[in-house]
Amino acid sequence: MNKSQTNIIVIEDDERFRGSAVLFLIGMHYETVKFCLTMAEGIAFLTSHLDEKNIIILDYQLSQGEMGNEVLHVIRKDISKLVPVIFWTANTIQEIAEIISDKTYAVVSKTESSETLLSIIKQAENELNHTIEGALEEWLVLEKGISVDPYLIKVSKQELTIKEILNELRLQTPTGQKFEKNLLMLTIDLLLRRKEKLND
Amino acid sequence: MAEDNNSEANKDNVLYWKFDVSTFRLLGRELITDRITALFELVKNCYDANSTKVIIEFIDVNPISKNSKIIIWDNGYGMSLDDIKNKWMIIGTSNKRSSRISPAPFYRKLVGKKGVGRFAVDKLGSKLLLRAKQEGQEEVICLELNWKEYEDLSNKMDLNQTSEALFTNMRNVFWMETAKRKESHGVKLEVSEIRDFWSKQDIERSYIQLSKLVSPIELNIPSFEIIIKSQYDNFRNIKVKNTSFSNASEEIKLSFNKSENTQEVLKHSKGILEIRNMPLRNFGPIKLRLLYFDLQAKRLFSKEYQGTERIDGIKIYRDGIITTPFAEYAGTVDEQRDILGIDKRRWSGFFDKVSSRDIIGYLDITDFDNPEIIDSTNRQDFVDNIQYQDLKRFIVEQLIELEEYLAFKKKEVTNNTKSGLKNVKGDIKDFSNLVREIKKTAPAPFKERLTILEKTAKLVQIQVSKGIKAFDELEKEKVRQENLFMSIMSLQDYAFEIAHVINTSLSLILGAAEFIKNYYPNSDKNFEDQFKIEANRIFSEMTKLNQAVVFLLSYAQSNISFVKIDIKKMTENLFNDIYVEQFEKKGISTEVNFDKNLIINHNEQFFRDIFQNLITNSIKAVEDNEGLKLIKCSGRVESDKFILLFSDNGPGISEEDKERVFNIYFTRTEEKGGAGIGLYIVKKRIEAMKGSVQVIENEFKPTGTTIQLVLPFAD
Repeated sequence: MNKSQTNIIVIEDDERFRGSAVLFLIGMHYETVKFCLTMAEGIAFLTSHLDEKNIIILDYQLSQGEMGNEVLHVIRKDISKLVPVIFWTANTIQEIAEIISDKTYAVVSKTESSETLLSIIKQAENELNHTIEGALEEWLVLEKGISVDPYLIKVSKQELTIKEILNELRLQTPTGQKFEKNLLMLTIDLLLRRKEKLND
Repeated sequence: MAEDNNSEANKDNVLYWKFDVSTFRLLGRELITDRITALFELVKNCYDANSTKVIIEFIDVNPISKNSKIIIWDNGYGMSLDDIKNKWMIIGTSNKRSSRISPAPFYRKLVGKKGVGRFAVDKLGSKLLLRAKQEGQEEVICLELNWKEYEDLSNKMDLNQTSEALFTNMRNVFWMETAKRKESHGVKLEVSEIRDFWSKQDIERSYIQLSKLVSPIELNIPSFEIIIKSQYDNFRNIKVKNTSFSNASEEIKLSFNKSENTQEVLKHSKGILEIRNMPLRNFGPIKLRLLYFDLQAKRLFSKEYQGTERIDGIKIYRDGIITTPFAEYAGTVDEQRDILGIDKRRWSGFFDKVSSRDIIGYLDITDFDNPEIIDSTNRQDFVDNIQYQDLKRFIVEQLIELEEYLAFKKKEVTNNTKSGLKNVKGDIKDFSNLVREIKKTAPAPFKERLTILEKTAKLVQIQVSKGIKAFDELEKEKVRQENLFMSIMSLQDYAFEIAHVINTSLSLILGAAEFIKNYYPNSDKNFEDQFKIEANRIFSEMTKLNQAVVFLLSYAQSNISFVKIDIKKMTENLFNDIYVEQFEKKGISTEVNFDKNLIINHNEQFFRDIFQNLITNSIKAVEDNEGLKLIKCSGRVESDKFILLFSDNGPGISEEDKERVFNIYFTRTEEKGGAGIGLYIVKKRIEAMKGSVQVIENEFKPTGTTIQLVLPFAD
């Protein structure tokens, strides 16, 4: 079976889940299932793998002082507004849903079946592939042989490399949003004037 | 009708309103959840428009008829035709976004952030006549809107499901009228085809809600007056006032000093509630006015306000205007009075706890100083960020100081009563002695009377003695009850944690069983290995579940009465009798060392749990030692506390684990059947006794663990 290259980052302070059946099964579908015991470890991994696709599975009740909600807040504020975060919890879902304020992909109970969690991860991955960020990343991966950094794009009078653009996109800064809009307009313009064709 | 003629005469006199169905519904119907909030939003708009006066007139609103109307009139800066066309009429845009401050002369911080205020009209009635005039203009702009048409249209569009019809232009009629006075200005909203009738109670609720609009603390904002007119007595023509409460039993004001970067906080110290300066917190500087009502003050309060006002907790005002979570009208006060989570604090300090029913608070923030305190989009709370969490913590910290102060006062009163009673007893004795003296020399007719007096004094003395005894009994009974409640309350914590623990084990077992069910057999080596792992997991998780159940049962069966416990004796009994066999079998040397006998009045099971958990942990830690295996328990009494050290010379606890060892289900001895419940129980029980527990530097070198328990003596 061809495994997906999307990184699954599990942030979970309970060591027992490291070799659990559910993670074993996810590992059958994903090349990298990174198990992180602390928020710091999880955030470090995400930060150093930002140029790849990532999905985060986050335990809600981490060790004292570290609630999943806080981890989510740090991720959304400093790293990426786009990376899908799936809360994975032994609390009741109702209880958690009321508390979460930042964007979350889903909340899944730990007592749900492995298949359920897996299908939600797949759904998140599918959607990830349809974002501009995802498309740019894919492009970067395909072009890895070529040096990509010299590609400069002008947005809001700034010259940015593609990687910088990616970062703006992830944090959904005004520059990132402007780029996203410009790119869509350009694509539509080119397609409708029949200057370019989509090659499927 | 005149407006029809006008609209026919000039094509410009028709305004088209661009809107999309879902936005219309979302803004108009979902964000404005009820009609009192709707009124509130409209009045906020008036405030933003620099008005100094708003009149809300309810005409024939009960029962509903053709003549029913609600008119909201302000003297703000009004609107131009351009404003109406490009701002007022376009849903989802808000002119409030480009500028956050109202124009001269007031420069008010705008409060109607979401730009939904105008949709509030829809909540009141389906037809609107808007009349707007700017200062110096000759004409009044009149515009007619009929929501019912939009609704019909949106219903139609739903049925058709045509995607190109997502946006549509609605036709609205407008016309100009000559103004009577050039210098007048403002907006008048005349809402008709009223949706629901307004009872007197509804008007009263509106009054109360509107009175809370402006903070009583912020005195430097320009005046803003709200008048309600209606068909009901008491509300025929009434100015809405934010009541200044004067009969609180305690009043506290906290402020800040920006140049010094300090925030005033409360600190209780031996019966005095001090205000201290501390560094500013991450949510920025705030002002807090807190009114506390004791029983007597509450009685005065309800007598004075006759149910029109409530003691309803702390509310947050931004730039002098109430913030949205508190602005939503809630059917019951309880729903909103505790947004800040004051009543959600669990059991600790149960008896001295101040609840939102005991306080009225005004917390003033500003957009400039506290930008991270943000109303959440659902308007029911604030965005749960680090700053808001810290603000909630700050409030609770102030309440805790207040609670400690009140508890101290209460004790003072008790002691005064007690000593007062004792004084009376002495006084009566003196009185009896005096009577006896006089009787000796008094003439016969007086003697008889004095004898009666003497007897009466004796009776009074007996009654007072009885009273003192009853008072003592009552106090003891109170302590007993408080202790009982404490242990029950702490059970809430346990239940929450244990549910989490059981769910975690269950999820691992379910995962394992599901895996075996779906994939067994499988010749792949990875799968084969995983099958073994999962079988073991089911076994070990089942063992843990069993332990959790045993723990729950022991709790359920444990005697909750309080007895005198001799700590030294109990420890010696555990070490020298109960565990001695295990120690000997495993070659463990022990040392028990107490400098004094210490008697504590507490639940015996609590103490047994603590010691047994510490002992079994230490046994697990040292049993694999190659050489010496040592466990030591020593206790000493200091002036106001008891300190207990529990040490072993096992491998020790790593630096990173020191904080986590007390967490439920944290274990490094899983292979020895450690479930991670032991130290958690120790911590919870010690905390229930207001003590603390931590891992300190190990007594035994080179490796080992020393756990320190500190129990403060009651005052």
